[in-house]
Amino acid sequence: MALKYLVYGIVVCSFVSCANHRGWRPFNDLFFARTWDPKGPSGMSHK
Amino acid sequence: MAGSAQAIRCSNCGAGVTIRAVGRSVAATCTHCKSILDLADPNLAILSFYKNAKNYDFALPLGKRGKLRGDTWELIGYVRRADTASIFEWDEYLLFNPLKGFKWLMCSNGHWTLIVVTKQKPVVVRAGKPHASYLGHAYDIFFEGKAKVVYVEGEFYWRVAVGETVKVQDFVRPPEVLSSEESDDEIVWSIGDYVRKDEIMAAFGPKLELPATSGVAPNQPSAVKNEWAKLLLYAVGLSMFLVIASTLQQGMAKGEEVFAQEFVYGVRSTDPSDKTIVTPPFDIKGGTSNVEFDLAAAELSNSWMEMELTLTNVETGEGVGLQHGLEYYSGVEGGYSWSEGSKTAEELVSAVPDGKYTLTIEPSGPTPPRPLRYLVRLRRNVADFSNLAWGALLLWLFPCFIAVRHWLHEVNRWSESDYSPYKES
Repeated sequence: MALKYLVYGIVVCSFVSCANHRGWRPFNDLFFARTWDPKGPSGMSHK
Repeated sequence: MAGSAQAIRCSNCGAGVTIRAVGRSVAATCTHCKSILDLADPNLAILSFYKNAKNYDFALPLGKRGKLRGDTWELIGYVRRADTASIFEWDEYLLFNPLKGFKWLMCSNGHWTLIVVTKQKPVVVRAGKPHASYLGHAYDIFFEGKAKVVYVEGEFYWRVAVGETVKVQDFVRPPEVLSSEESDDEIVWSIGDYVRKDEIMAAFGPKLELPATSGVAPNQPSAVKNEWAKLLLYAVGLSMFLVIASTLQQGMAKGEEVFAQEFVYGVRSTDPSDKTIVTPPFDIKGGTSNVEFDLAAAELSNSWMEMELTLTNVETGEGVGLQHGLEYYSGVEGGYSWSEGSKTAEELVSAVPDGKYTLTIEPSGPTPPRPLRYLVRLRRNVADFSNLAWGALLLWLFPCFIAVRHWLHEVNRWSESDYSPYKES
């Protein structure tokens, strides 16, 4: 069990480090839903 | 194991009785009339009759052999005992091996314990909370009471009798239980070791219908106790790594300003489109990073305003929008000045790729008495520790779950004891 947890912990740490490096906030985006909208902002076109 | 069984005839009913531990057993029950025969007497004197005694079902059949913890044992006797202060009953099976002697296999609430008489006498310490010391280990008191034999079957190395009552003390140190049984003549100490159900199945047959397990046995070890220290070590180590790595990463965040401009809100207009501001395109470059929106309205007083902000990539049309309000109220009441709210706010959006962007600003709110200036500033690659916080949460969720599970196990284990450290005194 402890070894499985160690593997899980390494995955978590790697994921957080990678997200930090990319300026990505996956957990905040997941729970507070602030993500890029591929269709652009609603009702507006800036092209 | 040598099969040295001997057949005798019951001196009460004449039925055949098989003796398995020949020369070692001193009493045996007749399988037919349930009388207890004195094997030490050449005439097989009857120690007691209990012809009308209730028949009990027991999980392991007498005569069954099985290899348990490295030795082969034969089940030769069965005793059902009861706590005299309650209706609680449990089963004890006498195991015999010609070379190893006798052991007991106790089954209580579906939990199994392999018991052997101790070679040394433990020391009971009565000062404070009673405990027993045996071979350098301390055992916590768990139970004190009286146990009574309510049913016997098979053969035994003492003159067993239904109704026989002894004082019992149990001290626990999972997976071990140290027990004393005190009769008028002697005190017998024994030590038991918790046996998993699958070990019993493996030893005596996978097709046996063993009693269902309920609750937590006094000497049942916590499944996680042995792993806990390692788990804690890993959790602390990983957390330290996460903190150091995140601090180093965030320490390198430059927080570069990519846009800053002051706008004015409150210029009277009947055309709502006048309130929507679209900035000229500006560049965000340096690699994908987060972008912080800093809002400030230094002149905001006893009012509020709300802003919808949309950052749009002019090349792809992709964008992200956010809404944020500013409110600030202040005054003097009873000679004390007070204020609430804030004239500034920050919002962070994640992973904004390089590109040319415009910012659309839609302010709203009560029309101020005079035009209100406010500042919108965007900075990329700012220090952000939210991932660290989430990562730490993910790292500690599992150890916390295990700790709670272990605690519940201990609470349940002690729930049947008068000496529970978890009960309020």
